[in-house]
Amino acid sequence: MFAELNELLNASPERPEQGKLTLLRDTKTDGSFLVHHFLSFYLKAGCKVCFVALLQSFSHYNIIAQKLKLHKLNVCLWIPSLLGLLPRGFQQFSQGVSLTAAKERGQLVFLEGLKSCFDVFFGEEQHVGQTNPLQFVSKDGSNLKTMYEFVRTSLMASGSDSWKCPVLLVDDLSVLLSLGVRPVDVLDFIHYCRVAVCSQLKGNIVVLVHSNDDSEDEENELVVNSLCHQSNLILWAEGLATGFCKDVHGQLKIIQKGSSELKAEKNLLRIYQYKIQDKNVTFFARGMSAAVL
Amino acid sequence: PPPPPPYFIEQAARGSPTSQHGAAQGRASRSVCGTVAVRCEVIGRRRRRGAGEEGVGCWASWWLGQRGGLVLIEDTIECEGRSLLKTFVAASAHRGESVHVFGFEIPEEEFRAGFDPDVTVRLLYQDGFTDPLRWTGEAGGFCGEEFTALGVSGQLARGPAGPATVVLDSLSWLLLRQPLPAVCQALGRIPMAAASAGLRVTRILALLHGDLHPPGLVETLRSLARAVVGVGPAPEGVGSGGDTPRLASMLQRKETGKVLEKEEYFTILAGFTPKALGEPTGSVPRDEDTDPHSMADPAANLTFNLRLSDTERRARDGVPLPFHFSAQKKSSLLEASASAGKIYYEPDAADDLDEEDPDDDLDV
Repeated sequence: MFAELNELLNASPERPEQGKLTLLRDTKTDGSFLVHHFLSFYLKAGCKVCFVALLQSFSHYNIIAQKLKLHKLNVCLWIPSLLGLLPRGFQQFSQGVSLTAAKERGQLVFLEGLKSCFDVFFGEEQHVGQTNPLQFVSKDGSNLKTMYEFVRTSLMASGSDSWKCPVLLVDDLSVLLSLGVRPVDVLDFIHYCRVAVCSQLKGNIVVLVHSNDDSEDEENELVVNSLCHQSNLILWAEGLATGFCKDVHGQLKIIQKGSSELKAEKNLLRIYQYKIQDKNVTFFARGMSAAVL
Repeated sequence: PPPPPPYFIEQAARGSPTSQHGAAQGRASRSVCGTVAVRCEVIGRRRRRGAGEEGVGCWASWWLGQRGGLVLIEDTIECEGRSLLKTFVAASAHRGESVHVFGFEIPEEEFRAGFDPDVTVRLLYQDGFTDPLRWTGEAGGFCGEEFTALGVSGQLARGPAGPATVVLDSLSWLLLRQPLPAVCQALGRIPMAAASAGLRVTRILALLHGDLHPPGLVETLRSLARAVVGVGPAPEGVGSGGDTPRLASMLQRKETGKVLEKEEYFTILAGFTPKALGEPTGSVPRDEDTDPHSMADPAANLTFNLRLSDTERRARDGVPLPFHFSAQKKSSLLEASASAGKIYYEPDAADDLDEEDPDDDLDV
């Protein structure tokens, strides 16, 4: 997770919010750094995470998660942490997250889309009662009910669990549209996940979609616009309009939707620019890149 | 007048002003393309404004006092319209009507939040959020397929008798999953079906997300609706600091056929009471109207003079064009002399012809 992004969002792993739908959106650039941020954020917060990873393999996410460390520790805190004088939580804070370890202790349920798709077509015969969540690829073509049931069973609290609120992370929904799922079925899947995760289990959902302002893909735009209406927080990573730049990789729009529960509230829009480094992402106000100052 | 929409619905509602219980009946309508026939019957009656109306605020009640039909609230990603929908729900409840909400997009407790207790008492929520497609098999919910005139009036019949308002949150959810003609027919038949069950539907309030549908569909629904309110963000500087100012573009179709359009800034306070913030002034200049005259005078603000006086202008107009054959030119061409070419020079008023040779004083 990126400490600067936590500060911008006023979020902290100690007190994660509940019942929220966060939409990650990218245009002309790759917004998957936000997925890595939220994955390690919620794992560090002690939440049970169900990760539907349709785009990359497990090892990809694992390698990146291990890289994300708070490597910029203050010197005055570094030596005491070496000597073990700081509380244990802080030491864990400063390390990366291992997805393998999280999977073993049951905190992370990982659906590897690339492997499961393969199993649907070429795998051995499934046992009775065990349906592959990606069954829709071969059979119905569009019904995501089995995937919803997979999400629901993996996030249901079992007796021995001591995790905090459950979290569903999807990377990404545009792949489902490419696999032939109709946009209304994708929206139905997200609807039922909201019912189960946000409203019944008081958890969070984070979803990544790709979008393009002048795209001709109406189905994708329908999904994106519909999710914009439903989400509480939108993080929109855009490539710079002027093209590639070595020092500024893109611009991030943070839109906090005003809730309409008690009275009408305004949407808060903030825009920052960012630069992705090897182990960290730095955020700064527009035009204030370190290379310029 | 706007061109007729693809699904042409004709409704004529005439209520006699003298009768207390005047029922307005609509003629059966036919469609231009012949595939959809929608019959809209508007059943309403004139009633005096009751004492509870003042609390609502005259902004909302001037056009909530209209007769029934479909009221459409259209919002976009930039500006949500659900708070305005809840304002109308509160207004209907304050008028003593029972409000049947068919909710598909948000859970019941989120919809009920923020209302006064006397409003929530009159609110009957049909839960279309928890299990609209029967995936989990939970009982007691409202399924998306049940949205027909009969299904809706069946739900209405379970409520108290008397005037009822039907609220759809949202209509976009239904339009994405059911074909447009079916939804339009259901909307048109709900008041009739409810009347046959002994209920009176005063109006149908529907929330529509304008950017999720193709423009033709939105136009069709706008032509079906009795009133359309488009919600958008208001520019900075409107209203006081704590409010969230919004711009409402209202279009109301009266029974006489007259169409009223109005734009107004508003905000919504706690308890879902609306507050009008004035109308947008029309004097905001648009980009095309920036003064064209200042652009077309490049001769202004120069250090040299590019302008012509009147005499100069006349002299310029009097110059013969190069291809114009004057008598002198004709004769010179016809002569085809072998001598050196002649130069014909016609001086104008500003020329200073001096016959003297300026090189005379050279001592060469």
